[in-house]
Amino acid sequence: MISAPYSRHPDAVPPAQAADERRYYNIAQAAALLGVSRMSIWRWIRAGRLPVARLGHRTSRIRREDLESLLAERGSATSQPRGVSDRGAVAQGPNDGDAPHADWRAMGASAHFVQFYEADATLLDAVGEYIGAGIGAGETGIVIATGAHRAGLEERLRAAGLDMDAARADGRYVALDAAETLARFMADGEPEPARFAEVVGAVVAVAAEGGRRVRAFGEMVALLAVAGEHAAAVRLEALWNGLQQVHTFSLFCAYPLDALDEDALAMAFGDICTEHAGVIPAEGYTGLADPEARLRIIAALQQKAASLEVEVAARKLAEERLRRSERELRDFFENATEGLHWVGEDGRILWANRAEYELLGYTADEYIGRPITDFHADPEVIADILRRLSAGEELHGYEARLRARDGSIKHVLINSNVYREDGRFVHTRWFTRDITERTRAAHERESLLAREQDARAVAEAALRLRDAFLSIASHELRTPIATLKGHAQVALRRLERTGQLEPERAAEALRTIARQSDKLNRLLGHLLDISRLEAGKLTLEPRPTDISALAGQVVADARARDDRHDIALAAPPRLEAEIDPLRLEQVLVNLLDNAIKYSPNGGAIEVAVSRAAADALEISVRDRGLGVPPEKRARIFERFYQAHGEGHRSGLGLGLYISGQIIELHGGEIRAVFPPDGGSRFVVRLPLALEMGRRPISRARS
Amino acid sequence: MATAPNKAARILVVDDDPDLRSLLTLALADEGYEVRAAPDGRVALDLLEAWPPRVILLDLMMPIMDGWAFRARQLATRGSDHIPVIVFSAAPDMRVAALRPAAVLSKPFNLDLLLATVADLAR
Repeated sequence: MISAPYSRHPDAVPPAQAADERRYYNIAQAAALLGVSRMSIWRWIRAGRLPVARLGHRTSRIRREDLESLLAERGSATSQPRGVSDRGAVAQGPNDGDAPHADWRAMGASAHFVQFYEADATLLDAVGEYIGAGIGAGETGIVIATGAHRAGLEERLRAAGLDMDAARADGRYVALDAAETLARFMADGEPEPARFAEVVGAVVAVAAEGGRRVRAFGEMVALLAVAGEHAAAVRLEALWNGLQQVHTFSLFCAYPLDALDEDALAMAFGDICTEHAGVIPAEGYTGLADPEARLRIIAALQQKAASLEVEVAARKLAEERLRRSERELRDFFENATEGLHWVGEDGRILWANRAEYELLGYTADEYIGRPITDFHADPEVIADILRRLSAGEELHGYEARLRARDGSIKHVLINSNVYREDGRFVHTRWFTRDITERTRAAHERESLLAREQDARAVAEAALRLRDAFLSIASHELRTPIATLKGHAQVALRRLERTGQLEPERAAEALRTIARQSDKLNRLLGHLLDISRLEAGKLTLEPRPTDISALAGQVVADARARDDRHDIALAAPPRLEAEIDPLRLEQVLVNLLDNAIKYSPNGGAIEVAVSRAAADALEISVRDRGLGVPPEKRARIFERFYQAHGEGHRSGLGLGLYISGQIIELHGGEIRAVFPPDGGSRFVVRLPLALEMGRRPISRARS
Repeated sequence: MATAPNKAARILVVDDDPDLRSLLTLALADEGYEVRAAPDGRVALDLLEAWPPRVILLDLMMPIMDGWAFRARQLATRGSDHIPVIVFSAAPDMRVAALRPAAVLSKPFNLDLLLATVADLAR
């Protein structure tokens, strides 16, 4: 019955007074009203069957209406709340009131109670007394426990004076290994009812033979609970309960308190408690002699539980907020448009966002974990970056080139610094900006600029060449004019001064004038040809011509002009070909003039005409003069080209170029060879019959 | 006009153009000078030794040895370094001035001017 302790508590009202007028009940009052233990009230609250406005030892508020509805439920319910049985709920000792001194002694013959213990020794003492008392009273003791506990227990029993061997022989003491026994009826992590009955039931049946009372101590459920198999543990408990319907025996289960620290286990705790008919708290409670003290413990625990629940709820909320914040940050980093990554001390990439590895066309797996140096195109650049970062530098806008998966190069700007915690290096942070497009554009501009400059240089060179040519041309044209004018002047002076002019003098002067006029005419002809060739308007007028005769004429003229050289001609009597005679004459004169000009020391000049093939002829002009320096031989047929430079310039430098063009227009080719014994040999090859449109390239060969 | 020149004065004409050589030889001979001509610097140097002239008419662009080389050799030779040189040049410039010519005539030249210059130098 409810007694005096309540007078200590502010809310306490003797149950005899105003019990029916209260609106709110605390746990003790609620228990009294319902005629159940406070433990039961507590269990219902925990099971959610009884709402409570406030929870605490002194300040619990349970509404009367809720109690009444629960009462009504209990009355009409056919099954009782789980775990609450009539089999001696909380055993009460004398004067214990609401804070009973609970131990196994108060348990009934067919009780099923659980003891929580903190120290093994406490447990073994209790079990030792329990089993020992049973055996001493002629009952059978069954112990299903761990090896260590069995050993400890048997030690105590022996110390208490029991003959363990005799008891074992009589079958009054049965000791089984908890894990082994468990294994015999577990299937797929669940205790199998039929097998449990076979295994454990059989043991109990044998122990109870002859109407003997049985006391059992079991740790199998504890093993399951400690292993985290809460559901299985509770089911095993239920099986034990079931067995107690069949056989009469008391069952003492024990749980180590420290195995029940976590949240999930705490829930299981509740389940276990509801399963069991009696609960013996751990020695922190049972060790207290004073009921007041024990009540206070209860109060404190209730308080702790309540505040823990609040704390847990707050923590869960904080965790949720943290998770959301983390999600948002992660989303931000993952989806940032700039590449972000961390690099560890060993140069490996610790983490990277999508922009970073997608820039290079890799997947996260292909990028994260690899050394950063793998992705840089220039080893000395990344080495410098890493060196600077190690030295504690912060990098801004550091240019680098990265190699993408497909081998292409990406230009980037890197910002990077070091993340330290308590001065200790953790990792480096890298921000990568892709400037490939910008760089490409810049390079394009540069190369366009370079091309433009090249083009300009080429154009300028061409202009310079033309200017040089023009100045040379003007000089070269003026010279014959000066000469013929000079001769005219001299002759005139003589005539004026002496009144007469000797015929030889006159003849000489006139011959010179004629010669120089021809030269001038030739030069002017070259200029005209060149301008026609440029305009694509140089045309040939081919007709059947005797090449031998043409050559003969040119040679004769040359001999008349020149007396220092020995000009020889070798030609067949007649050789006809379809050519433009004026133009071919021009070419032959050019070649012969060159031969004369470029062998200033005299010497032999050989002109040869011959049939080279069924359809071709060759004309060659060979001199033994200066030849052409090897480095210039490739260019002698070019426009304006003077093989001997300023020291020995003659003419406009157009002769060979024009000759080359004329020969090509004929469909022939002209080449120069330079024999080892000095001088030059120019060879013209022409088709006998003209094929228009064929234009082979003329070459100079050394 | 010029005063009567020293009729026995020797003039050396150095030019690779035969027509110009003959022109100058005729013109100067008509004036009463004794004229010799050389087609290049090397021949001219040889003549210089045997036949030192009063005035040299020097073309610059010649094969074998050009006017520059000739002038350099002339200036380095004791007996001939004093002989004045009239240089023909199509484009007189600093390089020509470095030859330290007594006169520079451009090509094509004015015959009267040339004869007057020779007369001055041959006196």
